Amino acid sequence: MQNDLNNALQRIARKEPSRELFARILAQVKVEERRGVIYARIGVLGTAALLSLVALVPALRELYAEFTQSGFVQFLSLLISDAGIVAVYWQDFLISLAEALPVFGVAGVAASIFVLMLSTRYLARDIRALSRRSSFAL
Amino acid sequence: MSGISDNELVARHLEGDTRAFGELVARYMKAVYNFVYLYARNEGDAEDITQDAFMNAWKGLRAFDRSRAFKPWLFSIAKNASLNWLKKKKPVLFGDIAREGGGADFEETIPDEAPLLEEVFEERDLVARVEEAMRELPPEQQAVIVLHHTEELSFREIAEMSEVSLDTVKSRYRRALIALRGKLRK
Repeated sequence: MQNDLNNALQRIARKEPSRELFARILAQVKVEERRGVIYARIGVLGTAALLSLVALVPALRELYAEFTQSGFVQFLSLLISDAGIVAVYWQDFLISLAEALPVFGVAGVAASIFVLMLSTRYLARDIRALSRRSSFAL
Repeated sequence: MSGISDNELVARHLEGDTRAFGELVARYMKAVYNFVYLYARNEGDAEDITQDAFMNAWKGLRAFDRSRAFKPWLFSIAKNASLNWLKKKKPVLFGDIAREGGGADFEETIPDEAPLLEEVFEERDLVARVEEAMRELPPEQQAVIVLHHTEELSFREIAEMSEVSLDTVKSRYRRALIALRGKLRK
């Protein structure tokens, strides 16, 4: 009896799952993989946005300080106070204005704003993609 | 990929081989499905639980200890997925069953199983009788039988994946065999 029972237990019919189950499992794995990539990207972009926002404050302070020290504002005000002279010596005026421009300060602020805008744009896109995916049921 | 061990496939998956996990699914999908069917008792739910089990395994592969065997680990995940499913499944409340126009009580709508068992026991095929008898066993006893005889897991591996003692597993196995013999003798 024991041998017959053991043999029968070995031969118990095993049910077959549907053919689609394998594809469904792998499809869900792919969705989860993409979701993981999106989460990682959100982390990086969020950090970049935050850092650029934080960096913007000292960049703006530095730009203000450079503007006041470089004489750029004073040169620019000549356009209003001595427009005639500026019109005559416009080439020299432009060169002097360019030399007085606080380039590093402007570059710092522009870079911070550029990174902030770019990272915010892609962050919004990824968050939208995540909310779209979670509305799909597998 | 067929000659590669399970743990080697896990290593390849973690290194970025996209086909490795698919191979593991192909190897064990039917076995996991049959195992969780013991809890789900219907094909649709068994497929859902199987899918959950493999997703949990995929998520847990980084933490999987490759010095252990993969198969018992996978079945322990499948068991947990089945138990979680059972917890979520709402119990049928007898008070919620609406009475029909004739005023039939719910108890009267439960089919009389005796004729069905008689029909089954008339069959001469021992395997079919064993399968039928198996369905009447508690899930944990069915699980030990299926895992030991069909999936060829040792009692130690079953104890590890079920998080019970070896003696408990052996006791469940003994009780299952005694119950099966009793049912088959009737």
